[in-house]
Amino acid sequence: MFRLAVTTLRYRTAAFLAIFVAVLLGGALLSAAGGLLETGLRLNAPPQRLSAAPIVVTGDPAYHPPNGSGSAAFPERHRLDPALLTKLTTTPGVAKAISDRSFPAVITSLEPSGTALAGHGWTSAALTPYTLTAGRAPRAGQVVLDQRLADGAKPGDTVRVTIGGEPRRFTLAGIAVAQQQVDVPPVFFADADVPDGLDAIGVFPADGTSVRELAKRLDLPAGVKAYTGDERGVAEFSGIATGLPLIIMSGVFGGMVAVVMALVVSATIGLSVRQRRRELALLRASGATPRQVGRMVIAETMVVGVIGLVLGLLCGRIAGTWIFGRLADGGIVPSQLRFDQGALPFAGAAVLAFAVLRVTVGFAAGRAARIRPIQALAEAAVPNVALSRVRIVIGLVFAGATAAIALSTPFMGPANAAAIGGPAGLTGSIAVAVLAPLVIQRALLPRITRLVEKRGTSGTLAVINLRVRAVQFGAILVPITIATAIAMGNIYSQSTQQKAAVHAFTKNLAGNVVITSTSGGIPASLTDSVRTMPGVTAVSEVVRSKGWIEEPYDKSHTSDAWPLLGLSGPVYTGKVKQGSLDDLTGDTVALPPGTAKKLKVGVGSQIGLRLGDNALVKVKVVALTEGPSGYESLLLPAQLLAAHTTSGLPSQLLLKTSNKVHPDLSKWPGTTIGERELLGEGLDTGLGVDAWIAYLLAAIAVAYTAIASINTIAVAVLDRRREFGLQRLTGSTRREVSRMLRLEGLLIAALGLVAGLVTAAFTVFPIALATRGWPIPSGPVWILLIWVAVVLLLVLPTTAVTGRIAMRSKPMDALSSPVG
Amino acid sequence: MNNTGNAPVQLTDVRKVYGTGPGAVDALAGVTYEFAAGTFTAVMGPSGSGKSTLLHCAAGLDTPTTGDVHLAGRSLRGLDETSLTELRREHVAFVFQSFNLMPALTVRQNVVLPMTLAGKQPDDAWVTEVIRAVGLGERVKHRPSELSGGQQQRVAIARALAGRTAITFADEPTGALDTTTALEVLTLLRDQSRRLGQTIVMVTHDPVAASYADRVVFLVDGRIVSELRRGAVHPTAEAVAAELAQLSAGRLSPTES
Ligand SMILES: Nc1ncnc2c1ncn2[C@@H]1O[C@H](COP(=O)(O)OP(=O)(O)O)[C@@H](O)[C@H]1O
Ligand SMILES: [Mg+2]
Repeated sequence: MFRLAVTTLRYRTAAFLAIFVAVLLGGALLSAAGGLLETGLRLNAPPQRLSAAPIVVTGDPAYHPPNGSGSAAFPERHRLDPALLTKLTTTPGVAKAISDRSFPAVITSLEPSGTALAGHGWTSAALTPYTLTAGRAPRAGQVVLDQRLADGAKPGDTVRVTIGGEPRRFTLAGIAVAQQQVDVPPVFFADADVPDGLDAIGVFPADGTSVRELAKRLDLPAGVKAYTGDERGVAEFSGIATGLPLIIMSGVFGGMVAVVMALVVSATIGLSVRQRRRELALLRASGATPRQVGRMVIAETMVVGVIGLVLGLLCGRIAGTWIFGRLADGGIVPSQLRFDQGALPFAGAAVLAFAVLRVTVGFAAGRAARIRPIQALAEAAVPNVALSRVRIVIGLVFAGATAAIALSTPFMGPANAAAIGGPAGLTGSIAVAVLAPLVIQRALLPRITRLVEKRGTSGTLAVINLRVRAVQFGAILVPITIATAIAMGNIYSQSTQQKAAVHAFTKNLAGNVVITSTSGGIPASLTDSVRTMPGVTAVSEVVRSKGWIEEPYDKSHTSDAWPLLGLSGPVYTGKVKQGSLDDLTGDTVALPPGTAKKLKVGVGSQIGLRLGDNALVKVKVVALTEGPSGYESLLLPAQLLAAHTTSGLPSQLLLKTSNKVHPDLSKWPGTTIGERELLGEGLDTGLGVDAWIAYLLAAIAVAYTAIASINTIAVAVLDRRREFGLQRLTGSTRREVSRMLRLEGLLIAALGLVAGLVTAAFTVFPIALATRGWPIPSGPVWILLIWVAVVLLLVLPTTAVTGRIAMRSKPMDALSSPVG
Repeated sequence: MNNTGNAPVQLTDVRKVYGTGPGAVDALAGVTYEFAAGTFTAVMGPSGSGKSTLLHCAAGLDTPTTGDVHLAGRSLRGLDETSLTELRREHVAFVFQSFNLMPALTVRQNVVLPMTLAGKQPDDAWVTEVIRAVGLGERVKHRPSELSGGQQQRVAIARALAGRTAITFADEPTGALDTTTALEVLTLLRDQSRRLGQTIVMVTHDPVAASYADRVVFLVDGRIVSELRRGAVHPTAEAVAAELAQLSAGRLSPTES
């Protein structure tokens, strides 16, 4: 039996190629998803600049809400108490402890380079270690540059460096090289020039003291931890607080891959079994029991599937590294995070893919086993649409679930809309896959028949073919529909949410000119200078961060933090229900009225805020201000909030001007001036991970559609050799048959696109309603147009080419071909 | 129909109705017949008279709506697909009009396929002899697509012989062949199976093909209306044709035979 199964393989190349590629891709992507999961769980970021210190003490980058549920990353660098350095230095077993402070420093006189956090004190050079290759250690007013930054400059030269937004002149004291890979080349200052504050402390154990033991024994304040080994990267790179985004992404991504793989494989086997009905029936007539036929289908598919799976797992490393690379490029994960893909992700992917494959194949084989021997003898081999009752019920359940999800999404609020609404695309796709043949035959065809029949004989033929081959066409339609639903649903719900978030943020800010800076922030000197400029009627610094209300404890924002907006001028246009924003200075806050009511506080109350750098500050409520529903922020004075950010500076200046202003910004290198649109730029909408999931899914959707539709079309068209032969014998020319095929292809592509867009609508419209309060999605139309083009480019050429191959033989020979 | 005892194929008041309600078709309207051991019976009748349905019911490929079928001494009533398959595998071979070879398998693999499926070791010498007997000794390694229609039908006959089964059912085995090839194939079928003592039931609408049989049963509208038996010689093609003409005339002006 097994030999028989293997013998038939080479006669079913197209169908088996589809299964092979689907499983290969599935195996590769599942092991990639497993790698993302392992990376998220381990969070290994080997240190670079801090690698010489065996123990690095720094603030826990993750916020743990007091009630203990979940965790979130602190958006800002978490500062240490300077007294801790003394305490650690005197701890028994510690040879030395060296403090580290990172701050924005950009060299503007040489080749512009260096990013946000390149500045450090010279003492922390020992943490890498950095050694001088020229010159000597810096004194006040001097700097030492990483060799990569020096750009030909020699000790004694003058370099201009912008620190804290202010351009300053320094003398180059020396040039140093690292003994270690360091991605961000540092600028070392004399310790006197380093701003106050401590980010991390590198601890060197005394001889004979164990690193682990010492790390455990260190007496650290709450929220401060000692890291060793690869975990030390936490102190150096931002964004390594929590693996949650990666874990969520790997779960959603892996789940989607498994479902899509199952759908593609089952559609392909289903089609192939249907086409082999005669052959399988003949086998039954020759004495094969139903079980033998089922086992044969399982065996031949599993052979191909397992080979695909093994190769897929071998490609899993490439796929994983590639996806991780894209995520790092997109800033979703820090690029210094190490991609960990050990044996477990591969084992997991192998087991999951095999299980999905085996179950899917089992169902399809059951269908093959039910074929009866006399079907070998029946003249007409047109499959009839007889969906089992179970299948219809399953389809209706999924359709119902889709509708229920879609109907409940608008009531979920913007934050949860995507998580709730997203799965509608998946349940909808499954419903389409299950019910497609029935829907095509009963609902769609009668409607389009009339339209197409006007196109003459080839039109009529195309419709007749669609009708009698509803099941087969269902198999081609399904991948197109699913891919369209997943790709369009994800991309447009993403762009809709993104637009809604940006709109909600900028709507309540007045002002027509925005100044931004790429050199670390907006210095006070710039703000002051702009304020006195003629034509400027109002100026406000803009600071953005995130935080939590801890006193009284606010349960509404725990793992998703409150957006904090720091302002210093009259630019907020939202309705002030109580109090006044004029009082927003010093240690104060303005709350949304709903939150104030829930927390039972009002104007004049004192509340405790946990800011982005883990500082707990007591602030007085001075106003209750309304914000866009679902997108409210807490308003704070810009100065207070900026002091608790990593850079310590506002990121933007917002200006109201009465006429055109042309401020001279050359004194502040790295600053740019623009229109209001700049306000939305760099806005952390919290959608980064979701967006990447959306794009990854769109990418695999394209890949799967390509394989699945090309293969199903090829299989379906080649299978009709006899039919074409017959048509040509009965008077149709080759061109007429080609035209009929082209029409069929167009119909299929159009039906698939329409069905997919309808399914996507169940995701996109409710999400638009939830986030924009208006059921029209936003996003670029060209994506939709490109998608339509991609589908047409997949379907039409494939149909044309396979059609030509199918008609290559003479009509008479095609008729007598035994393969039907 | 006076035979009693262990006829390998027995049908008792077999009816087969396709569809339900007003559109229902009585493909078999009550057939009782015994195909005696070692005989070669041709089932004749106009198109749509129920010949194929009769063959399928007799061979256990299809289940009658009512009535009993005994195959190789066993009642088919209540047997599931698997038991039916095993019973057929043991006792029955088929030759059909076309499409009855597995395209992926060689001539030899096709011939031994039923034995492979039954998990039996084919008798290599016998298989070789059978393939040579049908004139395909040179072509054992060929696949069906490389053979002519007549050659493909010879493979099917070899397959029917190779298993040494007791009964061979053939549905229009010469339907797709030209006259000369058809005669060769029929001769082969008759002579070879007679050598093995097989019982043959062959459906045909061709009087010449029917004249190779020992008996000819005439079917009209799902009923057996008459039977020609061999006396000293086979029923001649002329006799069969005459009977057929008379039956067709009778059908136009209905008179019960
Ligand atoms: N699967 C089927 N469904 C409905 N009607 C059928 C089916 N098979 C055969 N019939 C009908 O039963 C009658 C007998 O068919 P058949 O046994 O194939 O006739 P023959 O082989 O003598 O041409 C015909 O009227 C045919 O239309
Ligand atoms: Mg027939």
